Amino acid sequence: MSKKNNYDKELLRGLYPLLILKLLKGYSPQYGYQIEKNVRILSNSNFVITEGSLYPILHKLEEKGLIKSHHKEINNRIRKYYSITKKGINEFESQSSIAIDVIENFKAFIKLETS
Amino acid sequence: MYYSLTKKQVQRIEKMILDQRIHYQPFIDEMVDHLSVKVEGLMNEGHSFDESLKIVLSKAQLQEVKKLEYTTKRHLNFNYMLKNYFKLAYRALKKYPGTSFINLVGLSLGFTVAILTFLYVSNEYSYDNFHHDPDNIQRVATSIQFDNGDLYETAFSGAPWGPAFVSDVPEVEEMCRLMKYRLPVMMGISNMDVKFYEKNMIWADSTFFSLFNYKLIEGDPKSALGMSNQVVVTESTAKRYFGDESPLGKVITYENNQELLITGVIEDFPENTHFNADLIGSFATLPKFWRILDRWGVVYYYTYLRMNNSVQEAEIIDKLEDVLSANMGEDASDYTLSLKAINDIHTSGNLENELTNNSSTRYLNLVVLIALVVLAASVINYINLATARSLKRVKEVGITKVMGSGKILVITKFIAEAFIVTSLAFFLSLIATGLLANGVSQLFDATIRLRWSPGIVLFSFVLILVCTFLSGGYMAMKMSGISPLKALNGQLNLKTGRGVDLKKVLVTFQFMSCIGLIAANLIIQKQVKFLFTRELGYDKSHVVSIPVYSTQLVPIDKFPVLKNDFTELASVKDVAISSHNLIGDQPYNAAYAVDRYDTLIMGRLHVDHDFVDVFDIDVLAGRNLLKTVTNDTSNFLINESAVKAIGIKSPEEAIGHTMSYTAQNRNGSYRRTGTIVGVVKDFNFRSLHSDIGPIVMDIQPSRTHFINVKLSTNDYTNTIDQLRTKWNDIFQHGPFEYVFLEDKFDTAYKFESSLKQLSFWFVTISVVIAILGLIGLTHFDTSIRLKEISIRKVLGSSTTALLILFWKDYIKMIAIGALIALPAVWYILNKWLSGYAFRAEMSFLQFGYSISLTVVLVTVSTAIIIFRASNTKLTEILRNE
Repeated sequence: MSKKNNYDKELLRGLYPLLILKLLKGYSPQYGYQIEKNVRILSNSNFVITEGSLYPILHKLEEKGLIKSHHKEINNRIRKYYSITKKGINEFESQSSIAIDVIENFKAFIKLETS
Repeated sequence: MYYSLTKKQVQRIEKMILDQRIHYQPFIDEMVDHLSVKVEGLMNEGHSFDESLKIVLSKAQLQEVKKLEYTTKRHLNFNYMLKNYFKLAYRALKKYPGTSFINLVGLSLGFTVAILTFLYVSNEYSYDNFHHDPDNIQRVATSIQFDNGDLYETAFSGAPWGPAFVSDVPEVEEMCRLMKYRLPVMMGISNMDVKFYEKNMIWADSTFFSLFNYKLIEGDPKSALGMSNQVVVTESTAKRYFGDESPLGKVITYENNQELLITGVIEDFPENTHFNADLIGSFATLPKFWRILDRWGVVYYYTYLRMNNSVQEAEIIDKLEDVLSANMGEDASDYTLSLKAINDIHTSGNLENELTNNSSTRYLNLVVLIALVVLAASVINYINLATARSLKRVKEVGITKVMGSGKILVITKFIAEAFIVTSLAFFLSLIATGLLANGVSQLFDATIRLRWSPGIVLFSFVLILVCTFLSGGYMAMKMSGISPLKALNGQLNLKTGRGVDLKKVLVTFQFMSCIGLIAANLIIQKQVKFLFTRELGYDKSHVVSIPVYSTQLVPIDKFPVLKNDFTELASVKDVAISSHNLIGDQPYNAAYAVDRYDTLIMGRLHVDHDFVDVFDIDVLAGRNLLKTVTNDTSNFLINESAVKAIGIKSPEEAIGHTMSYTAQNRNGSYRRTGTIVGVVKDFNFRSLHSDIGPIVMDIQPSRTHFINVKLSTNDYTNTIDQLRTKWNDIFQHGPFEYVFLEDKFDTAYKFESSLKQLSFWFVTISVVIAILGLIGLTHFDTSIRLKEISIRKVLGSSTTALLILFWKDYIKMIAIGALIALPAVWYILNKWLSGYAFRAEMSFLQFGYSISLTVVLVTVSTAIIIFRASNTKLTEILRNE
């Protein structure tokens, strides 16, 4: 396992919903702990969404209708599985292209030569 | 081996989470699973369950979980927040069921009054709005200045005027004249022995369907009334006449001699129109039997004009009056014209000869004002009671603040509470409105229907919103502004920045509305009672009026026989015939030549020798018309007002003066000359809204339209049967109908009657609200001053002394309330009363009663609460405080 990156949390906060949507787009359904773990693994620990950030985001995405959930009884407890909705896929497509655009512009901007 | 947690182990994790006072259920399930997975992971690495649990659920970790719940909820949604507030608000309401109940009842009453008033008033203002561009359809009204200075203001205009207006005034695009004969007419179906007596037939120009928006179901709107001898019938009339057969092309006969071809079927008239009809004859037919159509000075028609958009009213009236001058010469100077938009006629058309009994803006404004006062009283009631209850909640707010609640949270909490009560009250009042609408409609003789329309939705929305903020806003602002320290000490300052005690202001308003509404009710009741019991100048009791619809079927020469037959009945005291019904009829006018006047316009009433006796009218000078004096068939009786109009000093001096006027009979017009033989006391022939006016009476049997029978018994049913039998013996085909004059009187003043009912109920409701308010108010005061009451009691103060202590404050507020309310009531009702020619005067007694009643209410409710408060365990109160 590669070492966890020390990105500033504030910087990443806006990307977390996109990371979750991307994950659920490819691998639905997943439950909270699984999402946290899979994001970490698939990003080589570059992106770590702590439970403190994860659950508020999941609830918010569900409220917006971008993801949906269902419950299943597993090992004597109720587990909540999340999967992406059609609206979530559209949102991911549009928001991720905006994010890429922002990053491209940012790259271009910092490459500017200043006298 | 992969470890899975047992049910007990999962329950242990759940319990630990719940011990952290985490309540958000979706979050709990998710945390249990999340932490369970972690515990299972550690157990798979070789740790025991207890060790794993210790690691995963360390104290710091549990606090994190609590924080996480908060973050999730904060992130989550506004909905959750609101839901939580509503839950808190619901609990707060449940905690004080008594106050919540009073609040709910008070607000529901206020809302019910507001909704019923809105439905009623909006229906009144919806009249004739369905026409295209109703603001530009104007009805011409006429004011005629008589030589003696009297002014006759009528909705009538002249028949030749309309066509001249269209041809001479470019701004007038189109016109339509209507004529409605004041008496029912007889219609027959050709080749069939079937007769119908139509009380509601009008005659209209061919432009009827282009000017007004009434839907023609069958026939061509352009030609349906274009020629003479055409008639359009309503759907109901068509069904009545011909069943399911189409009436188009069929012929009906008007008054046995005029055949009319049915050229159209119109939808039944809607309720919200200022006139309606069962049959509409073409105006072009009228000249065949109505010979005075070309006279410019005869006003007996309704003229409606469609105006050009850009016209100024004053400018157009000048032009219309110029048309009169050009055609009438000097006589036109007596005529002043006015215009009224068709959609304003129902709410402000109160001239003589209106097509129906209209409402009035003044009346509607009064209803709205009373409803607003009742609503305001109920909202202020809520504020007072909420304030009273909130004082017990100051500490609760303090704790909320210490726990970190911001200003907005506290405001939202109180507004949410107000919203719940307001919405609940609104819901209850909707149910009440639905249940009461029919009953109230009948009681007030009005149309009130609960139907969802954009107007009522907007009204409901605004009502809930405004009342929520008005009722919850005050305490929300007060509570949110209080410092946590003061709140924890239970201190709440209710004074505004300027040192005004808002609570006292609100309570004073409540007293003000209570006094004002009671006083207004007493004045309205007195005026209506005055109208209904007023000495009319004649005795209407026990008089049955039998209309004579058609002289075709009821020949005039048989009336003496009928009269004789009626008089022979033991239950009949006397019988008289007249041209008019004395109540609610359209009086005739005629131009009399008398003394220095060539044309003095006065009311004209045709009677017989027994008229004065049947109605018990006082003869002031001279004598009644006598059967024994042959000349009396052309002599006159006049009233006191006519004496004044002619300019004679006393009734006695009027006797012997000669008068003449142009009368009509079957052969055309002729000059009728006679002598004044008697002067009678003024009696109310016209509406009580207007002055009595001069009346001239003479005998003209061809104008017999009503037989007035004075009964000497209270056995009405048998007597009416006897009258009917006698009538049928002579007039087999003539319909026998009757109306008691006293009933007719009640119908003619239905608005006054409704207002009487309305004000009684509104005042009853507002007094109930005021009593609820007073209970809240005293409860409020005792809540604040419980400690003071207890100390005073401990020191030996009596309950009476305590009552006086509280009472003194209220008396001051009642005095201020009365000082504001009574002049306002005096001003508003004085304006309302000025619409009556005969009115009951306002007196200080009515004002005194309203104040006394309020004082009694305050004293009783204060006494009950103080008595209860002073009987609670004093030590308990002092310990708690």
